[in-house]
Amino acid sequence: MMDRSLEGRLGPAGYRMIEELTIQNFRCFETLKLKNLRRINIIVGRNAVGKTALLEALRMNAGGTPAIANWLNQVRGIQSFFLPNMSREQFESLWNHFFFKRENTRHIIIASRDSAHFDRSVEIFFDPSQAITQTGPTTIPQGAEATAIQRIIPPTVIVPLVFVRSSPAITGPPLKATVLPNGQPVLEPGPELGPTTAVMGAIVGYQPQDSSAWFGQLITQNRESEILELVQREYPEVKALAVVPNPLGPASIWVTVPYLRDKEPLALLSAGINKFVTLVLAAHIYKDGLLLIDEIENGSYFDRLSSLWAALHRVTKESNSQVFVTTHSLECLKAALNTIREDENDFSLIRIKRTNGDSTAKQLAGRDMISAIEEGVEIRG
Amino acid sequence: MPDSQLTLPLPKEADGGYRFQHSLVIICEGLSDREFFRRFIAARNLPHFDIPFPHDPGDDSIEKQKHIFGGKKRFPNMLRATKAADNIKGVLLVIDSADDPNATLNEARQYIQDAGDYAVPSTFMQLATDGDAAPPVAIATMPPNEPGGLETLCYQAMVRANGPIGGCIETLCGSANVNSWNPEKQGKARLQCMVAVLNQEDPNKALRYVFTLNPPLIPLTDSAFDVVEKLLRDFAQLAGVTI
Repeated sequence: MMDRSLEGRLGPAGYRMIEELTIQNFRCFETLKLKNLRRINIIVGRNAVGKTALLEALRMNAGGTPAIANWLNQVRGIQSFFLPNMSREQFESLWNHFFFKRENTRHIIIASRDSAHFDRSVEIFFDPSQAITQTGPTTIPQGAEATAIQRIIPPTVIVPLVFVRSSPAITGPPLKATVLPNGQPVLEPGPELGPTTAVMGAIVGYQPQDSSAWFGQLITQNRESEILELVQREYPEVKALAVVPNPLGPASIWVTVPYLRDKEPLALLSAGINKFVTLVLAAHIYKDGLLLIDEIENGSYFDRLSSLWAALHRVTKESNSQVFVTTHSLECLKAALNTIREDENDFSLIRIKRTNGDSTAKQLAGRDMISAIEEGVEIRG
Repeated sequence: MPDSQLTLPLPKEADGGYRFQHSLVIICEGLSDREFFRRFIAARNLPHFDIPFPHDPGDDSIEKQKHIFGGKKRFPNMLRATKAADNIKGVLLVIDSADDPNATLNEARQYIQDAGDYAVPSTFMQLATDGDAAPPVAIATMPPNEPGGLETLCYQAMVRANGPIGGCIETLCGSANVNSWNPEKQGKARLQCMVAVLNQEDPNKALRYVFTLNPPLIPLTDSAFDVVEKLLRDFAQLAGVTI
């Protein structure tokens, strides 16, 4: 619940855009400070410099819970199921890669300051003072079997991963990723620090059930024409969009096109149109929210990239949301030029570079980004 | 660097845009200046510089022609673009002196101001710096602190190498009232005459291509250019780059 004393300091929509971000000891960032962040922040850099890690840091700052850390593991494809009675090494190996150079005695700090000068932060560290001794399952066999199990699973000390959270809207004790004395792993639940955040991964994140749920929400508000108009501007062949239930699985968006007698699932019609629709929907739905988009250019034909930027800018402005987007593509950056020229103060570029394992960032304002692209200077790193 | 890249404002890399290679940068007005500095630096064994010049964006043929000519009006754009580079120790903004070097200095100061984030030098060859958002920048006029342009120096050097022709050109300029023109335009007219009479193969050769001629038409080791060498060495020293 938001503190009522804050209301007067908030903008009319209640959302405050992230203006500054500080990261310490998270993944490849020993210390990173970003300032003057804008509505649309474009992250560039070579492979393995930390572009996705920056999106993850933003997600962690907005969430701040052990569940988010676990979800980030899943997105990265890291084994994230919890065995009962893990050893300390097994438990810590689930989290060590979040720490700079995997040095897990460090404290991760991800802090942001928003446009109303409110601070939000999460500090993550292994806290030896809260160590738990696992003594094994609570219901163990008796007699000789018990002795055997105790030999196999000796009492183990687990040091919990602690999440100390701070936000104007949410207070409370730290949350922990830990285990119970009986060996059961626990991710202590808690509310996210906010704002609501959508993550559109480079590979994952374009799930039909997400877009159909979002579109369904707009249909109930009689706002489906807003999406259809945006889509038709770029893809005039799309005559109608509908949420179609699927008895065998989740509902999805289906498309009416003149050259097919039946409706076609959006995901089957075109990966590019699917992406366009999903991004536009996400920006609409995550009103006052945060959109994290990895590799925005994936799946889009080059001559559609300009309109993707224009639509993204228009919709995020209308929905008062903020976007952080990564790209590798110069073509994609050039395609953004006209949109940036229209409102250069709404854009910033963050270029990440990694030297000896430590990533740093250089920032360019929207106007400088335009100039660099016009003059043929490489801005991707 | 192959001469086929002459028409590009910045030498383009195969994998995308131009990456600054050196810690010292000369931003000049156009292709002629860039070609002069490239060859001058090589002839005099001076430190390496990146030498971009501004150009207009665009894809049609008219716009491509503009790429060749560059233009000082777009200095703010090039300065803004230069902020994208890492590890630059100094940017030298080089601009033709025209009639009044002091007026040109103020013009250059305004360009720097318009680019944003840069500290603005108050005088010639002062390396001004303010924070990390933009690299340090200095201003130099050509010829240094005197009226004229790059052509003025080139002409002086060519006269020394081709004395009698210089006398004829002076007579022509006197008869044709060229001497009443402003110093920068006088220099351009004299140089164009000199190039025309010395280059039978192509009397119409533009200065940007004159620098590519072999044997060279303009002797870059002539003492007329010593002031330019001193200027570049002084700049490198100001930026803390060892020569």
